[in-house]
Amino acid sequence: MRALVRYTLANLFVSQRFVPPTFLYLVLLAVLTSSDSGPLVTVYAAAAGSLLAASVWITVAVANAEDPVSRWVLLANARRTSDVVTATALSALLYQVALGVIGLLYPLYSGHHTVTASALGIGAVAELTCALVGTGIGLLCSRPVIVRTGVSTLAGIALVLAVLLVKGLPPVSPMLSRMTGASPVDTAVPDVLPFVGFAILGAAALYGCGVLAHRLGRRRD
Amino acid sequence: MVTLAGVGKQYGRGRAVLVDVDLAVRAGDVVAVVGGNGSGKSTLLRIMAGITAPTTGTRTDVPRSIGYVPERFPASTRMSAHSYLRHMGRIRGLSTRIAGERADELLERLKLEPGPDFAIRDLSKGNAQKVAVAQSLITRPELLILDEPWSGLDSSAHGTLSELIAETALAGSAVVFTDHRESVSRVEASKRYEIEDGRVRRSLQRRQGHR
Repeated sequence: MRALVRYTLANLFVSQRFVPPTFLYLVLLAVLTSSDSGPLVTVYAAAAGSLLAASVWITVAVANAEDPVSRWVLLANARRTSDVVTATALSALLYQVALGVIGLLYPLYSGHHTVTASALGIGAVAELTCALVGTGIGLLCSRPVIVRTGVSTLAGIALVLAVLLVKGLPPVSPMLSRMTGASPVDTAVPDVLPFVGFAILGAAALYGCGVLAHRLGRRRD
Repeated sequence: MVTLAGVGKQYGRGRAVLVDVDLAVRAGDVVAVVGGNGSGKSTLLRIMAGITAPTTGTRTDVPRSIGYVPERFPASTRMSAHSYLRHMGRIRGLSTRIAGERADELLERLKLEPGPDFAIRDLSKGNAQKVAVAQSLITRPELLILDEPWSGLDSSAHGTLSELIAETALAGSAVVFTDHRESVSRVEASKRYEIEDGRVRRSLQRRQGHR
């Protein structure tokens, strides 16, 4: 798996496909969180939402950096074809860890907030949850599941909006409303536990999307 | 080494690419699959390699390691041939050092021009094909699958490829390759299958290959 992730990341970097989604993320982060003086957890909700959108695009970039024919070669060399899907997801997540750290630190630098360990913890778990869900959506919107760029873009946007806006659809929508709700979490004793639950649901969503992407890919390759 | 039983393949609602294929490859076999363009050869090879799942039927006796050479190796990556091969070697379980040495050895035998440190996208079709052959042999595969491997290679590389195939079979691996019906197989095949409209049949008349 290490060799596969290493190759996948190397391929991503030489393809330079990581640049547009990274730029999108940094712009969203700057617009939504700069010079904010509200509760830190509310700002982190915006950062996590930004990461969700970027995450889908990054995962598509990772998957599509591999040419369809060199993907066949990779599948043969990897032996277990599911390992290639796992490596795509792990590579995308590793890259997003770096973006998530920027999302946690930038608001502290640009705004005025009361920093608490629990707010940082909730922010980190929220970013992780969004990264997991976004990576899952990305697996479904990239080759070999969706081949055409236009369809992939529209499907990605539709799924991100659905995950953000459909009320009560776990884990992202209820998580973000909990963070931006009338009684912001960091004013009272914050309850971190539900957020761990959201992250677990995010991981389950990614696993489900990965299994589906692998099944569909096995038919289409 | 690999056994296909009742294998069929259909993409979406399109026409069936393969219909009811029974085929068995054993260690030491050198199998030729011949057929025209669009006859389903490449799909059959991808199913044997485990790259795509058959729509019907089963693939059993799966080998532990497979080398796969696609018909047209993509020349889109900016990665250098040497670093691509090192990655593939590591994925096949080699250490970075051994993978690098093995890559150098194979590229030297195949005479990659202009050299191993050039980006794959800057290589000619034939030279990109040499990289494809080299990655398939970076470790000795139990099953070596080559899709029209001679296309695009110059005559000296033809000779080297035939030698590499012969050495691989001699070491106990099974080799499966495709070729056009018209051309004489460049390697003496121990079994020969003809494929037409997705149906595969064993060709009993054994043609003599040269070299």
